[in-house]
Amino acid sequence: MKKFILLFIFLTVSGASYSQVLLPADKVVLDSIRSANKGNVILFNFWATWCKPCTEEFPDLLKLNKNFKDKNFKLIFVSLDFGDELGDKTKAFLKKQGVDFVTYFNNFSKDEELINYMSKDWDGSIPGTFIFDQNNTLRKTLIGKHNYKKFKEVITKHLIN
Amino acid sequence: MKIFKSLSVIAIVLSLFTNSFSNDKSEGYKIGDKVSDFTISNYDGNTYTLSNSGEKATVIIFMSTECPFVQPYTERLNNLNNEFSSKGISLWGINSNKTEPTEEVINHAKTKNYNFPIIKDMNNVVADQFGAARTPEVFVIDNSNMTLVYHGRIDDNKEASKVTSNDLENALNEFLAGKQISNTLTKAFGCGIKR
Repeated sequence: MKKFILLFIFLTVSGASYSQVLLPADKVVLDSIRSANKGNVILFNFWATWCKPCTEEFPDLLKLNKNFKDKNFKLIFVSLDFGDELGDKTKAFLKKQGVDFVTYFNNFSKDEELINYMSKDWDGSIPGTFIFDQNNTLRKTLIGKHNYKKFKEVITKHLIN
Repeated sequence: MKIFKSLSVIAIVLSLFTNSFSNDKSEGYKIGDKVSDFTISNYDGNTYTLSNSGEKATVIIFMSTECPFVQPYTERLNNLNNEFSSKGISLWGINSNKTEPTEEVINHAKTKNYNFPIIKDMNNVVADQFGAARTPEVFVIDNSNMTLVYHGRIDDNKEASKVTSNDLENALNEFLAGKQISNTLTKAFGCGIKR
């Protein structure tokens, strides 16, 4: 387990180009991502290939990632695709979008645990976007499709250095 | 199909208590809240009135023809309806997705062979009233006093073989036994209702 955690911390922090690397995300992994990125504004986006509003906002999030990559910002995608879709459908979508960083898929034993982990107020609708400030505090929850302008506005507001 | 379209013109009468419709839309209902009555003239030629369902409780499930979180539940929902319809509980599926027209809802219901009514909620009026956000999303109304007694999921896993908690079934059994429902609020992933 330790080796695995070290691997994804390395991948996450280094920002190395591991094309379409899709890792399981449970509480331990999400906790580790958050602690490894203390000092960064983190945007978690929960999506699925079959969720139209999710795929529609996806390019805007990638644009955000590109424009803020040198500014203490970290984008974390977590796919809610089902097990049999992850291999082909999910990776094919990520490849088509040009994603060249590590992304994740839901590996919580119960969906409700993940929902409540992110926010007690989240009802489980997707797309769901959660923005943590540089002190690791959840500052904004965006449910439903949003655009670049909105994402940028929230990120900029919480990016103090 | 034109007949279906003309039949699908829905008249919804909301007998509001004190809250305005816009308040219903923004807040939805919490457990214990009084639920406003509504009537829908559905494409199937039937009229569905919440207060006249003539039963002990009504289960409203917001549905979708496309959402992958809804599709695996066909058999489980039909089984629930089989189990509880004879015990005074009505189950209604409501489709509020703007992107899923009446014709599609009709065809999907036929394909799925649902044994309970699928009602088309034109203009998302009922979804707004309940504050429903996703599919599937369940609301159980105690018809004796028109209050919300359960809100949340059908069970805890879209894959039937992995279910460990039959939340809706448990809630209905407790309700019928006159007991306090032990878990009135549950969560699950779902597809956002397209308004």
